[in-house]
Amino acid sequence: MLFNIKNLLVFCSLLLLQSCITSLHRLVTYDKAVLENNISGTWQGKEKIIEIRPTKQSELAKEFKQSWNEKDKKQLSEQDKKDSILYYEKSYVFSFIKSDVTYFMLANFIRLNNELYADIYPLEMVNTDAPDKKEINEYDGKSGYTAAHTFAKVIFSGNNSLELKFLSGKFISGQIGKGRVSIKNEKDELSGVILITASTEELQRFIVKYGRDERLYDKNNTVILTRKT
Amino acid sequence: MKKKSAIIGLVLFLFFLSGCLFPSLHPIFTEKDLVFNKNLLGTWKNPKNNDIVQFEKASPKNLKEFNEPLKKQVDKIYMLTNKDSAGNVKSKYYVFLVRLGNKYYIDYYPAETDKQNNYDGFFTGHFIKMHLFYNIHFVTNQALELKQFDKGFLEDLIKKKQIRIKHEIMDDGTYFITASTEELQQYLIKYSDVPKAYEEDIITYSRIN
Repeated sequence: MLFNIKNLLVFCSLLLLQSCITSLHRLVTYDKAVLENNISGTWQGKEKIIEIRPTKQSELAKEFKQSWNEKDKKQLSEQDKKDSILYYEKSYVFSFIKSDVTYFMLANFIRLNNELYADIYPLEMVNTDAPDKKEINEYDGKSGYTAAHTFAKVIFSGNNSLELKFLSGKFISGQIGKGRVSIKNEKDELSGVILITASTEELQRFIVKYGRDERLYDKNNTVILTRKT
Repeated sequence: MKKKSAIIGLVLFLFFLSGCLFPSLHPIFTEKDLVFNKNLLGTWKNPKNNDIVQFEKASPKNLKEFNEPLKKQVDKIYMLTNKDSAGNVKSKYYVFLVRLGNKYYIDYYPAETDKQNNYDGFFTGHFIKMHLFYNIHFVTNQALELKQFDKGFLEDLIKKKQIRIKHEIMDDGTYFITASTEELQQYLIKYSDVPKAYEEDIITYSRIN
């Protein structure tokens, strides 16, 4: 029985992997990134509690406060200034714990067509059970992995509930396959999984054009969060 | 290699960059290029770091995520388990032995370990599996040599416009190789005898079982 449950969990995680479409490039640029104060807080999802904090106030930032202060004194290049907006001043850290592992993800937000979209990217996994809170490095480039972005439309229902409607891999892959959608992509021939390789500008144009089409999202790719604090 | 990059003082974990390795989105093989050499089967040790690698024949149940034509090649596919000196499983890969011209190459493609299967699927779903490849030389029945392709060498060729190979340029200026299998094979054949195309360190393995 245990074996069956384990297999089911593996199957579910594979389903999730295939259902959210991933993008090599980001959706949000430093000049269009927005802060969305309502999103900050502790949220209850179906299986986990998610902490969302502005990056400046996140646990991750505290860890590097010292190096921040040192760097802050130096003259910043133009690129550093842009990066600081995107990765620090106008970004959020999502964190959650599952089975003694703490996960950190970076989120940027952008308004397109007067709607709010999130660009989510994995940052770090830490084994919280280990005495030294050991970082887990199993998904680095050396191991044969590259991190990618996922995008979701963000819809608030009042102040205490929000929906993250992730772009459906099934729908977009199907439309690409039928030649109905033109967006730069690569197909992993071994597994059939599609990776979007469109530039940030193309991605923004894609969302402006199709973002209001409800077929772009489906229930299986929607995360509903309820505010705890 | 993980790079902790300072971004205006907040050292964000710009994770998962590939360092000097040469990962590719696409494989270096088609089904017809696969070969099987039973000499690869067994357990090998890297004397430099005491890592143990075990090559086994894949079984159909290992290949569920692959397309049908590749599943039919099950007899030519290996599973590699990489363990540390204490015997803990560090990583697993599908391994494809490929012959191009008169040289052999291996293509590593990540497979999930039991531990990885228990990680959060939403988080791990943000990672794309890439192909890592090496030139492989069977020195004797008891010794293997693997030579890694140098990413810097390829990037220099691209920057100097001495090669046309499909790629994407990432935010941090690094290259993400999206070349087709055909393009990759052309690259390997053209540069296989160029010493600078490889990393200086040769990985050696000695058979222990």
